[in-house]
Amino acid sequence: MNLQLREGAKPGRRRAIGVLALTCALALSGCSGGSGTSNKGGGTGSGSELTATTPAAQGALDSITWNLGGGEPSSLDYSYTWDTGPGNTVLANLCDNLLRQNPDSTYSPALATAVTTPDDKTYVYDLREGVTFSDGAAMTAEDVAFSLQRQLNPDTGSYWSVWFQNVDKVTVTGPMQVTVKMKAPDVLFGDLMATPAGAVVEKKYVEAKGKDYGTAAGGVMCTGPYELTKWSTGAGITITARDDYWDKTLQPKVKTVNFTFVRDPATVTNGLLTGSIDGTWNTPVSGLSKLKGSATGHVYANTGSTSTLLSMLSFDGALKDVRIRQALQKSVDYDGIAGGLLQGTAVPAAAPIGSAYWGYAKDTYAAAYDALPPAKQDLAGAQALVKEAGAPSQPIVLAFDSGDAIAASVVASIQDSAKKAGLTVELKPMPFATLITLFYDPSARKGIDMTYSTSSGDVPEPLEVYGQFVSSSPLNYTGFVNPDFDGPLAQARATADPEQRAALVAQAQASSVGMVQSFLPLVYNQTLLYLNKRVTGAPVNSLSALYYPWAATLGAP
Amino acid sequence: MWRAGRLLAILLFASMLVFGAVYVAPGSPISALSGGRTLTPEQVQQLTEQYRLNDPLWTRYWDWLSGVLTGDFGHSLVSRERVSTLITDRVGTTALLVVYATVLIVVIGLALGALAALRGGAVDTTIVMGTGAMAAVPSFVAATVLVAVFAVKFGWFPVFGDGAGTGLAGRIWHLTLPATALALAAMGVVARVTRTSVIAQRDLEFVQVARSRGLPWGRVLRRHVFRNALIPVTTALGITVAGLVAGSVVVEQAFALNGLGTLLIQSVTAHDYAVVQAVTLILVTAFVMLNAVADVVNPLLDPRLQRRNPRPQGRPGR
Repeated sequence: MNLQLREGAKPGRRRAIGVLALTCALALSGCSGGSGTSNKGGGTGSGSELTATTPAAQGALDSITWNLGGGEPSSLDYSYTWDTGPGNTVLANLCDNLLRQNPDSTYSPALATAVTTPDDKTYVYDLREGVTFSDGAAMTAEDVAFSLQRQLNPDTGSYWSVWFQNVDKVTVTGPMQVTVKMKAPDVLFGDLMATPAGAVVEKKYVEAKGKDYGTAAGGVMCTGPYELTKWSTGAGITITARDDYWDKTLQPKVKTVNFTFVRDPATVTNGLLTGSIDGTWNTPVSGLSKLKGSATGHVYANTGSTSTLLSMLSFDGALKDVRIRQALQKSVDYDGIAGGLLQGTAVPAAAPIGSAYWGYAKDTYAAAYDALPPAKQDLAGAQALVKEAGAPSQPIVLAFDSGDAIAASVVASIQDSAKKAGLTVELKPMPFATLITLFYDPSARKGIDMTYSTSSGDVPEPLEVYGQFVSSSPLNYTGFVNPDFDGPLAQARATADPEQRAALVAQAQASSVGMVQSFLPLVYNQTLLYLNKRVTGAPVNSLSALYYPWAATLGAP
Repeated sequence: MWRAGRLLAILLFASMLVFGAVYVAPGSPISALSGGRTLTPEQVQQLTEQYRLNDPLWTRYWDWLSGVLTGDFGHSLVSRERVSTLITDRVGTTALLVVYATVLIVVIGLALGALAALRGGAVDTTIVMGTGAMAAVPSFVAATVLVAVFAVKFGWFPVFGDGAGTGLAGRIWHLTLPATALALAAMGVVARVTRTSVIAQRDLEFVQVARSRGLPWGRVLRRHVFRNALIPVTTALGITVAGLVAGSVVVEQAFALNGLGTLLIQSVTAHDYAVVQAVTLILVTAFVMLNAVADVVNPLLDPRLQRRNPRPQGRPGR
């Protein structure tokens, strides 16, 4: 899917991270296996059997070739790698964050050994001793403070800055201790330290490289299991295993990983079939049947963290009446889209985000999900609603990326089923570059009611995604104000208790889904990991592909 | 002199078109700079000023042109690298691809054409039909079929990549399928032009005379038939080879080659203006130059074309 409509989440959760940090410390194998087992809100696909893990790696490999289906990263600067795509997939192996998010949706300590929260506006990070950057220099508290302060600095223009809006200051408070003071309690800040928002870089190196840091010319300097050894723009990126990585449980077995930037699905499919590419997180759906029958490797599928949905842009036109939006929601042929058009690599979605994000209070979220209007086509119900509200005089205008064949087929299905419900949907294909402008330029949105998009979050916390769509947010394109959504979310951001917070988020979710307010969710897309038979070991988890040092788990079977 | 002046005028005009075109295209560079994130109006304002997006077009064109003349194409908005670096890294691949395809077109195209013309009969029929089909196949279709057969089924050639860092032999091996896909249609055209041209010359009076005087057939072919037959062929070659430069964009995409074409497509998608302008200008220049070369070569083959008033019915070419 081309368009990654990235929603900048607002921070907002405090879990007792200091305690939590101990629950899964350093035990990768013991912690994996949880995320693929739920079958609610995006669990079972009709096509593939789901698996959370691949057989553990046994032996060493000299080198593998890995394709980045999203193309070449525009930057490997942690402040700008927020594309839920190629940049994060590479960076996850180069840079450690203060915390680590594991394949089973838990957190464990990484560069911070403990996090204490003496009050709800203070985070104290005790740092790990004996960690070195890939140039051999020891990591200091200065480096950590610098890395966080750089995200705060408006001159940096960090893509993660939205999570730092409640941060007051970051100071070194001990030889190996850094303290973050908040302006206001912000429960999500803690979690976001398990993404590149909490990455640590070498101060001296970043200052020396200036604007070139993170580019092919400037390189990166981090503490991860791999180091960047070569980046020839357009051609590829090579990362090489370090033998002095601090975490011995994640000592890489694969010496070098060569990343390629092939975007064309047919070329990727052929590359995988012939073994010239060993693996990818972006297995092309169009090549799936060939790849599944391939003798050269395996496709592993699991619940993914990407949702395909229709983003609401304007309620001034045909979508003004909530009954029309509800009718449209009922008319969608969810099973046809998930099972047919997407060949069973997706499951119908009743909420904007699914089980992949339920990092805690799973039962609460599961029960709340079941209580939502089901993602099932109900043409009679849709017709009744249209009849009651009266069919709108103008058509519902739906924009999509004209270069995305799957998007084109999905919106055609939506148009077709809406017609059966008595609604007229007008399709508006737009080139990707133009489509992007819809998300920041109000004049570009004129006359467009919805757009097809995919969306994904950064941490297993539903609040992170929903929090971005409160009525005051710039992402609330329609200007719709819903106190039943905003109220519980604001409360949730200041609620430390997971169960209570989950109840509040679920309440907001129910209201949002009922009003079809920011999104009309369509399906949850599965993670489709392809591994050549000479490679194994990676967790099958799309958030791990972005934020976990997955390459360090790979090796020979 | 006059020709050089005309060439310069064409290039200058092309540079204006190239520069202006990206600003007429829909979308804005802000979307590239934002990477799809939502920007506040202040951020949009800041980016607009930083990249001088509000300056008059004419001022920017002048700045750009003076940069280009000194080899400075500016910086990429996306990768922040110098555009000249991005181009020098890739121009080799594209040049090798085009040269390789040209060699294939010349060698195979001419051979097939001559063979069909001189052998006649079933050979002729087969070649005419075959080349007709070749000429009708777009390069992306050829690429798909070639990969399916020679890379996936037989595994003789790599599926994608330009073999950078594998030496010249490795690069040629990597570029064989791409060059074939690129050359195929032009090969068909050149073969057919050659065939027609050779047949036309073969039947001319002076050839018959030469033969009747007992000159060896091989010599007649070389000195009389082929030399004259080559004139329309070079004209066709000039146009098709110049077209290869543009066609390379499609083939590079299909084989994920790190050349100028791939760079162009990526940059167009990302609205990376500086790169789009530079690459387009280079491709246009290459096109114009190759046509100019064909213009220069033809008179060498046929001295009549150098005269101001070529006689309508010429002597046989020596």
